[in-house]
Amino acid sequence: MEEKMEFIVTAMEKAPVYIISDNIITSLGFGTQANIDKISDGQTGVQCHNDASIYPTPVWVSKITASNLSPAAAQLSSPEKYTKLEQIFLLSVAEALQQTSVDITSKDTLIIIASTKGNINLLGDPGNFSSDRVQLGTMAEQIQSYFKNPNKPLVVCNACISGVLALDVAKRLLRKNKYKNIIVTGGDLVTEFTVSGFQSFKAMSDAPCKPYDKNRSGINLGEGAGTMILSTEKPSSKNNIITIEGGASSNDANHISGPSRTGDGLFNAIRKALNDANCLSSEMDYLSMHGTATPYNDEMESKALGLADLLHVPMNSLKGYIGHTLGAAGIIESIVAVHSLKNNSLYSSLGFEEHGVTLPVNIITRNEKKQLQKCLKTASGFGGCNAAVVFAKQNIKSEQG
Amino acid sequence: MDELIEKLKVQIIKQLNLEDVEPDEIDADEMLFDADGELGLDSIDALELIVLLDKEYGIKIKNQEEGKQIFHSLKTMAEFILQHQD
Amino acid sequence: MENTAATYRQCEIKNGEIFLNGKLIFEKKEVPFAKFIKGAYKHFELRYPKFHKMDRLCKLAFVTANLLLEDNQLKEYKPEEIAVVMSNSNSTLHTDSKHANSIKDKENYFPSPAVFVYTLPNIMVGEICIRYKIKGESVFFVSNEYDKEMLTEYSREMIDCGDAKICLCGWVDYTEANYYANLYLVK
Repeated sequence: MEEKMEFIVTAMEKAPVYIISDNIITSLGFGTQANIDKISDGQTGVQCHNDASIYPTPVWVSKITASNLSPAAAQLSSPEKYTKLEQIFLLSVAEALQQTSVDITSKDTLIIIASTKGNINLLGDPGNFSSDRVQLGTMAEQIQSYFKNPNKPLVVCNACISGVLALDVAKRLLRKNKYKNIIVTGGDLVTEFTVSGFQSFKAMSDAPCKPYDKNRSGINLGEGAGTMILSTEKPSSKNNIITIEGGASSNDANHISGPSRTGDGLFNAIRKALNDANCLSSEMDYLSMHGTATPYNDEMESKALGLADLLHVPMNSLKGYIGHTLGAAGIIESIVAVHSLKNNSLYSSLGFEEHGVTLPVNIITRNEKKQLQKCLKTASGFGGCNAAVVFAKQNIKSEQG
Repeated sequence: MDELIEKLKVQIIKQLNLEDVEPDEIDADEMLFDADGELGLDSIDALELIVLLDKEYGIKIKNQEEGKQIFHSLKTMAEFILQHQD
Repeated sequence: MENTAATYRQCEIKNGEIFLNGKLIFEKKEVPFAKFIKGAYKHFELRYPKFHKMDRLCKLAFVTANLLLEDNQLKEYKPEEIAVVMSNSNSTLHTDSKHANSIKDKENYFPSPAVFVYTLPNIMVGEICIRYKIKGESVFFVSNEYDKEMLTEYSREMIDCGDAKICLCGWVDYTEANYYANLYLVK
């Protein structure tokens, strides 16, 4: 009884965190809807690139071409002052901002940036830019000053969980009422730096990636940005309001690059995130997984889902559509998950054909309309880190999709 | 063969930063990736051995699975090099 | 730096000197960083073979954390109750350059996985978590200046809301030209 009381008290103390706007930029398109339309159509942005500036031999990656970026970047004031990644960040934040009345110049608005390598393509050859632009802090200041935001931006640099973790950091700060609005934006590029590194790890697939498939052979890298604007103020619309209900991170304490064999680390993050959201695993309607398509990662995830009693819940990985966008992945994939909830739509896990993990996870093999209320987003990365967040739709009865 | 094994010992110590290991301490027949082994090698070390074979001997290995048999011991590694070198 | 109630124990490494709670406990000036940090590792008998495989940034973090956590500072806590909140300004610049150099020459193109893995700053957190079996919340921030107040406040909030009981917190930064580490405990 005492425990129950405590449970209610904590539940009441947690101020709601509303997702009021979002934007996705990837090779599939500029804008959330453009990306979701392509995903819904089963189209992929992953292609074979025979480009010596990425890698000496052809590689399968998802890249934003200059012919797509340049006309979009022309909308920015003085686009030439910004690097490719900065342009993508600025476009993503600007478009997400346009859909809201958030005052980005207010002291109540913070920018959080998630990135693993930022402007790493400038290392050793900064071109027209100053060499310190390779510093994540300096890149963040460019974004901050473009929008005339008065607060020093936070940069979360935490390997492949950066995006999901940045959302959890924002949740924490909003619950404490430190800010009214937080703009969380994540981005990374496909560069020779990362491609060659993942190649040395024998982690790159030499074909479109196949998360959870028996014949999966590794990742496809991708580039892009995702922006989510979070607020403590309830949006005016009555329907389809999505909140971040909970989140958590954990460490495997096992190995700096190899995922845990048991999945206990990711399980810990999931368990804590559900707890934070005051949710049971049985309430989850959908799981947006990390699913990189490396043999060990996907296997580990299946073990974690087994431990969390989530094997029956429909799940997918979006890596087959947009590749692994590193620091952007957690935010882009969270945005798609949020729209899955809004549209009551489950999207097929592209690349999956034949079951290839030990436990019977419920992989979505074709698009489906289904009433959805709550979902879980997970990520795991180098350094043994894991993160999970829970999203929920606030209206009980939504119109039939 | 023995000469190659001795050379490999030195190369492995250098490539894997085995600071406190002397060449004489590595047995040619001993399992390199024994969990309880003295060398304490892990999956990153296995990948580094793939780089070593490429860099020093021009032999390319596609994936970790293939590496597992080759890197069983120094002896199997040396045999593999002798078989595959031009 | 002085201890406050919030930061009751701390270790600081700079310019060839190591301070524990403000007291100088090791000094090896006028030698390059690699020699200094190995000297400290040997002097304090840290005995951890994987230390030699770490990059310089991780070695700096590892020695700082080991001295901070000696005498079993974490013994009262479960692995899930311990959090890590760390930050720096140069991320992994030194190792980034090393990896970039290995792919400069197309005729001599040998990127190394043992180097590449250290091109993420949260690997420092991972190494510390492995050594001390820490399984709780963690986050790595990058910012141009060391904002100790922000890191301490963030850690305190994690403790206040019950997500952790103790937090290993601070700053570890390394470049060829300069290095600085300051780790402390918040509980």
